[in-house]
Amino acid sequence: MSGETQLAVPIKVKVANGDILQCTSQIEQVAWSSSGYQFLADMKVLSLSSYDMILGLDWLEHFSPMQVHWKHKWLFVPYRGSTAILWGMLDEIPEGAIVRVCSVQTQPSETPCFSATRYTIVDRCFC
Amino acid sequence: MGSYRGYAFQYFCWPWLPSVEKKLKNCLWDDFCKLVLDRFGRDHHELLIRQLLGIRQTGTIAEYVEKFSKLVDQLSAYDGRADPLYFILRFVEGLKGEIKSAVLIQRPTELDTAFVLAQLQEEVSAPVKKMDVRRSNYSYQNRHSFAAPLPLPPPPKSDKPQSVKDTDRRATDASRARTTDDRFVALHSYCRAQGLCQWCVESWSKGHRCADKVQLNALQELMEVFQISETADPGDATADSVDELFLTLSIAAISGNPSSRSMCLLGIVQDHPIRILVDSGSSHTFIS
Repeated sequence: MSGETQLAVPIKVKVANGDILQCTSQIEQVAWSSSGYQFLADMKVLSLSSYDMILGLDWLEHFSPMQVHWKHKWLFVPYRGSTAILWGMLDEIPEGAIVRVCSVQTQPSETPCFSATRYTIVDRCFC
Repeated sequence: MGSYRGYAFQYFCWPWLPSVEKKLKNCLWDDFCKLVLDRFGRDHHELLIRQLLGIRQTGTIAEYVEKFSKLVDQLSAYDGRADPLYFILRFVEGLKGEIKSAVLIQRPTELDTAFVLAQLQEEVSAPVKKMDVRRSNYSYQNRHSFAAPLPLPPPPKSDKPQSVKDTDRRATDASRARTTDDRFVALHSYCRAQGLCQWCVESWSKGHRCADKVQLNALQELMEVFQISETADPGDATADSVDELFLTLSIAAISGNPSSRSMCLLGIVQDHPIRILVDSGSSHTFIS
């Protein structure tokens, strides 16, 4: 990851299970995107196993007030004078389930194929 | 039968008398007595005995005494030979628990003595009862105090009712003590004086086991003690917080496998597809 800056004093990160991790560097103004929306955020660097990024309380506070549907897994957040909707990953779809995909965003260079990790499902139908 | 002529006759027969007036013109006294007995006597005798058997003190002693003596008077009109001891014991039996035991121990030989004893006992026990309302082992304590007609005043400390007033005083006592050690000592000595367990602040006895739950006021007391110890060395505390600025991370962020029970986004950073956890349990935004 480029743009890393070392922290003058390492910060201790307390994990909920009681472990303490050391955080020695951070990246300022990381550009990241999700569901087609661009965001900038300062981030602490920490080796994480399950996720690449954790959006913590500081980010959630910054984008308050937001609307969240915890079951359908979407977030409505204020975004540049308007609102952005961020789609979360739904529960794993059981094998053999019939899914109707309403529309698919593709990069111009690519030919559409259904690989869940490469494409953002823009619209969802709950059949 | 003599007593019929006076009190009992008037009491029972007055409304009935006009209806039998004609019969009475040539009636001898003995016949009249028979008439009266046929009309009222047996039924009422049984009724009165049953009332006597079932009589209990429901209100004050004065009310009970009045009811009881009236019943005894009526019954002795039927049978004057009854042993007064029966009446005395019946009277005592109907008294309320604490008064009953006190009067019983006095072994009154006259009914009037029993009446007076009961009234005295009621008068004497009234303030004690008010004082001891909060006490859980009240009945046990009273059995001792009622053994004598006048209960002794409670001993200065160990037998005092544990009232709200007392706990307040304890709190002020503890706060008056200056240092933490003083507070601990004050707390312990208080517990010892009150006969309480110093760990759970419940009443202590041989073979006592501390309860699972501790009284709230005991906890408050401890909290006060700890607050003092914290503020005693404020320099250390602030130094610590400067050195070790803690961020927090939820357990799901570090070890949890992506499950349906979390809010997880897909995103892109520097052209890399990434998995993002939206996590209010973490204080800051982290990147791997």
